[in-house]
Amino acid sequence: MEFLESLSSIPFYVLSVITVLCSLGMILNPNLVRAGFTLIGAFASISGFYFLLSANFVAVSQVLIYAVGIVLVIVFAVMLCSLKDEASKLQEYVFASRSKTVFALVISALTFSLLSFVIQSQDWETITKLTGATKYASVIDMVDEKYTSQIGYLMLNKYLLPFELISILLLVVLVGVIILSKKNISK
Amino acid sequence: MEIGLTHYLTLSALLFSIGLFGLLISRNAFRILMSIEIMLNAVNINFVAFAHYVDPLAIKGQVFSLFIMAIAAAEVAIGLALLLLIYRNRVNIDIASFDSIKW
Repeated sequence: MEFLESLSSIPFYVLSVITVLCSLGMILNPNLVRAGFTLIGAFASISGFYFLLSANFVAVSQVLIYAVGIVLVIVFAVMLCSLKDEASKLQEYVFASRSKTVFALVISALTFSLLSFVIQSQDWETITKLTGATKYASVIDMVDEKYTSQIGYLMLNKYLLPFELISILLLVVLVGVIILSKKNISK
Repeated sequence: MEIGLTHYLTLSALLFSIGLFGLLISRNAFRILMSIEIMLNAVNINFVAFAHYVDPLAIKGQVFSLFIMAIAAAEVAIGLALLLLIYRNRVNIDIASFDSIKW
């Protein structure tokens, strides 16, 4: 039984390793197009986490929006700005300067240690008990299949205003991007 | 050890720090956009993990993460349009050279 329980944690660790390696590869790969494609691996494995957390709709949207849409747009933009003369000094492009790299390393390490300290110092079991998650733990499998319909229900009832605001935002972004990328705005 | 909320929170903290590191060291504006995407994804993992472990019946975290995805898409579209505009004017996307309105 214990062996089976330890087996169920394998997907989490495998996905964690893939995600962390892919995001590090994105940062350290000097070739921008390859870095963009490495990002697909990170986003796809993050959608694997959503499947593990029984958030099926969010996982599918993650694949559709991030792993395909956003990465594709970024890679296309990178190809539009092909910087031929800078191919020789790509390495210098990745690492700004030694002092700045050390500074960035210190800052991000401090952030991580601070966040993990806060996470470790909380008593999460009590919190989940207080909010009644463990009480419903047996119900989760039943609710699981209804998550997608529940998201649709929430978006059109409780979160109708933010939903409509998002649509206005997307329209504004559409118009703004067209105006920005048009040549000869002044005419 | 069973996978709990703490595991997901720690993973998301790690991803957020990696994104921050990339944001600080990269000189290329495209890579900065990609690092911001990594950070937004770390936050999304937090939301979905909380929705699963703390609030499994009214899944507010999942709805919120969907809103974050829409805003991230908008941010990328505007950011890339600005970058292409800058590239067209200066033929350079080194973030250190964007200093013409610095005083």
